[in-house]
Amino acid sequence: MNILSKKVLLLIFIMLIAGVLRFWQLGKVPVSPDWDEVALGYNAYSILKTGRDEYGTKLPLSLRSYDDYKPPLYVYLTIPSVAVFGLTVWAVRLPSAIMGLFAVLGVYFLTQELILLDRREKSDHRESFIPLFAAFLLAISPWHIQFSRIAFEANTGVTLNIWGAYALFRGRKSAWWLALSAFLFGLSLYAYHSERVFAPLIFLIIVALTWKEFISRSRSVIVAFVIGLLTVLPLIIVSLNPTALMRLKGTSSLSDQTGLLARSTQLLEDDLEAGNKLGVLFDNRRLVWAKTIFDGYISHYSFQWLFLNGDNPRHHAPDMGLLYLWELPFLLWGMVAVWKRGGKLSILLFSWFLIAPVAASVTTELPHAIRTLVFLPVFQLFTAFGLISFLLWVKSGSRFRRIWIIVLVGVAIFNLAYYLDMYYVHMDHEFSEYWQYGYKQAVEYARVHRNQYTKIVVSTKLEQPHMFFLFYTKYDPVAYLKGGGTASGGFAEVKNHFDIYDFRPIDWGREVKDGKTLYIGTPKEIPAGTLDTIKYLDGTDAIHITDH
Amino acid sequence: MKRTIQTVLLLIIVVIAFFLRTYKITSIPPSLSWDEVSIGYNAYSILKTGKDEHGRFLPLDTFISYGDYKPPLAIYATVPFVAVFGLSELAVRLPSALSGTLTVLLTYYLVIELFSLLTAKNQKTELSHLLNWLPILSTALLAFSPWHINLSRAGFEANIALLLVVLGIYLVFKSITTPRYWYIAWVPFIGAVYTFNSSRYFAPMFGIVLVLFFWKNIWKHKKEFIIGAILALLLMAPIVPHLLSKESRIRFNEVNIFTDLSVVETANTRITYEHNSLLAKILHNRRMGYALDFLRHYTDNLQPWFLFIRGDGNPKFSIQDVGQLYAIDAPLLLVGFVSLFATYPQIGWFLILWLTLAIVPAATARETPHALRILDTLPTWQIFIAFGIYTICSWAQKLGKGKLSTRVIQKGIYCVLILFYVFSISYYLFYYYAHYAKLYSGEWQYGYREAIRYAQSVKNKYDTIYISETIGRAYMYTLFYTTYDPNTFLTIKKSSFDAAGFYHVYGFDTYRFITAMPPGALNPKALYIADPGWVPKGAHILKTVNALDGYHQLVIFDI
Repeated sequence: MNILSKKVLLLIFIMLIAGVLRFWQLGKVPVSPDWDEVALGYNAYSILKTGRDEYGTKLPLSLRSYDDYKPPLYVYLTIPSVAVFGLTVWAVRLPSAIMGLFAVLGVYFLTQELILLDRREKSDHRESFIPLFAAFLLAISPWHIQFSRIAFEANTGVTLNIWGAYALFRGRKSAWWLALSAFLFGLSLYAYHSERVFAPLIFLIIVALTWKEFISRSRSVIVAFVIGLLTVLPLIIVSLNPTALMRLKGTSSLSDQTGLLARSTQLLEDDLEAGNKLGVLFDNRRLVWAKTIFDGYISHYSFQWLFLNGDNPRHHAPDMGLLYLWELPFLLWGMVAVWKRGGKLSILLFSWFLIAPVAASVTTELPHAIRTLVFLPVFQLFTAFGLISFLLWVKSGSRFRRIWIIVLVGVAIFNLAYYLDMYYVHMDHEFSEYWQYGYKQAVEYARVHRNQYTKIVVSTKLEQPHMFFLFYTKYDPVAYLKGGGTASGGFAEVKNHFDIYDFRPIDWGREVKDGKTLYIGTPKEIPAGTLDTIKYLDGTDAIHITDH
Repeated sequence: MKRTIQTVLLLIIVVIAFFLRTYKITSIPPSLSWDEVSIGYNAYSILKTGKDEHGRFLPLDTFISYGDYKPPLAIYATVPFVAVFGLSELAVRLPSALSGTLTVLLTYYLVIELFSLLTAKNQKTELSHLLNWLPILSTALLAFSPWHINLSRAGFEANIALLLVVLGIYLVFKSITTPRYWYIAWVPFIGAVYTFNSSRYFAPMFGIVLVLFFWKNIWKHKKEFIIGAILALLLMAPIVPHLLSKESRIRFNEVNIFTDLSVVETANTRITYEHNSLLAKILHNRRMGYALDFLRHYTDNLQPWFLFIRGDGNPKFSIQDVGQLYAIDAPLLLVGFVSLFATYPQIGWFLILWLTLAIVPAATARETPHALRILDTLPTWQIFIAFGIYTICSWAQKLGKGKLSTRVIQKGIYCVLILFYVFSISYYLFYYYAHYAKLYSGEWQYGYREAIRYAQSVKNKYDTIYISETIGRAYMYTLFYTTYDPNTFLTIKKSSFDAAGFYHVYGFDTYRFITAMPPGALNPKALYIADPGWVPKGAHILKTVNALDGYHQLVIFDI
């Protein structure tokens, strides 16, 4: 068998692994959809049936949703899936899983371009295995698997980055690829918020590295430019609407100016009292802002976050970080190897590594695994270089060095087994609370007993319950919009209702409890679930249902 | 750069380092912490009587102190300073400040030896240029390091231990070229074992690394090496019984992470959930849980906010507004790390082993990150950062040989680096001198000095003086600030050890130490130094002792 067909076989094998890890139990692990997933699902359903989203906006380019103004691409990707497979969790997650597969494939091709980026006097043929390593590492990456198996928009962005970059490299020779690249990078701006900062930056960096090769091809550059412009034009129009900026305001770490600056203001007063004029320079609010942003930025270069803890439980498996621990030495080794190798490859990879958290750095709740998902696949690329350097090191020395391969394989398999066990076996059990488990069962109960009641009250303490009820009852979007659609903004959340369902806070002492009203709420609001108690998978009470 | 310029530069840096470590040292930090007064008074006691506060004659293994069993060397190092300057802030803090200054000086020679020894033969030509810049850069970075300045300005044993560790490594380097140094090479390491708990574990671990690095040379000079090693073992002898004692085990069990039962519970839950399968028993073994816990505590010490933004959460170790390193150090550390491994891998390995092993002892404790317990990682950070600066500057210098535009870029890089550092250092020093003492005087147990000095001035009017224990270890502050005679104290103190092994003094002479107001009617012949919340109706308030931020610490009254 020649080396090419060997590689093709290996790539197919890697894709199979990636496929199994992304599709097996899709829709069951994680155990239930969270609020964003049901929102994407129901809005896709609504657009499919009515051409409008839950608010009645026709073909939205910015999905208002819970006033977080979701970028629209994922909703549109979900429409065909929902059309074919119905409004199920599986159908909503399917586009993300497919995108995940494309990302693994894309990394193979992208890496192939990358290792040929610099003309080298003597290139080692073993380097040609780096693309396989990179693809394999992404295929088994806990970070990538996590977001390939849930309907979060960011994962699509990663895939578009990879293919956009690949197309741009191919575009040095072909007008078609160049146009495609412009389209993909343009499209990525519709995929996720972080993309709007990251995609232009990485695009510019690649152009800065390769501009000489485009200089003589002005016609295809102009065509690509026009295509790119046409792709982003609708977005520019939408973003002139001030509400689109609300999301940024809501998540920005600089929004709460009083809290942020309280200390510095106090210290400045102390300086004035003490007659210390330097205070104006050092107890300066601009420095506080700069420090806050830098703190947010650099929080992503945390070993603990990357390798051990992750952040929000929805973003990782229990007791796992975002990368494998065994990858750490090879990541570092790979960084050194890439630095040593130098050239455009080195500039590109280190730039990618450094600009990935830029968009996230002005937001709260950092470090944040979704907002910096654009890191992928740069960690895997570095690690792939590290692994190759390691193998070359083993080959270059005495036979005893082969022991290290056994050690590596042993540790890596152990680590992989641990992750798979934590993700597929224990995560549902331990993290069901974070995945908003129990809503489905609550809807089911309400549906079955619907005829016994004139009204069903669902507490808004169960976060965004109206969306879960719309999703699981597959409530007709036409009827929903006729009833006014979603109310939102200010205190309007408590006014949501459809059919006989009412969504508002429950104040147990004041409820009528006439036996004709069914109450569904948290254990904190409803003391006893006399009709039904839904439990999280770890055994604690999730939802109480009662009518008296 | 010429040798003489180097020497002058080094001298200037050392003088600045000394200034930064001693200027206003008695008032910033604003007061002595309880460990500092204990070190000071025990040194005084040794000086006057040869015995510690517990009456043990010249203890070589440990000072019982508050029941925390302090390593002995720092206390002995303080004795001459107490002899000269009396029982004062200056006497307690100078040993650490001087050690800090010497560490700065020694770093220069350490870096020279490190690069001379561990560079491959074919790189020797580049080396002379490197050695013009790198040692002086590393030294300057340490001189201005907020981490090192903060910990040099109070009587921290760790800082003396750091000097010994650096000296030990330097002596081992010297022994490679001059074998007779092997006789004494390990003495500073043994000294470190006698000085600080973390260094106690780090020094032997890193000793093994040093032996592994230089085993070829050691094999050639085994006679000198073995004699030195035997000397080291003999010097270890006095402390070994203490290291194996019940007390030191109790202290370790109190702070270590391996007694956390929740790890076992999680392991059991997971194994049960998988029906006790063999695979589950292997994957969810409790040892795995503890290993993960260890790594979490370990990586706490590498958190970016700890290193570059806020520093240690304990204001005694960090001013909270600057990290353990400067923010600008972060990119330079990355460049330094990667480029050092790319060009001088041996040195990279040496430094990274030093750095990672120095964190190990701290990572077994619950309280992480901990700037004091990982102080032995200094000055490896500074060497990495210095190498980063060197790499960027030599890259810029290559640019400078080209066109005008690239020359502008070159000058721009230099300017940006210098500007950032000047600004960062000024920012740190401004916060340190303008705000630090006022913001955190409470953390430094501020208040006892003022209260006890006042009590001294009116002491003849009362037959009992009650002092609140709330700020902590009131008896030691009383001994310290009244310069109480150690022999008398030994004979008249009322004290005991509690179940956890901690030492309490309830009173001596006219002083009584209280955790609440004594019950019953107030004594008209007594002076009370109490918490603000304890003051009864009708008390005649004589003085209120405030922390520097205005918070009421203590109220002095009688009736």
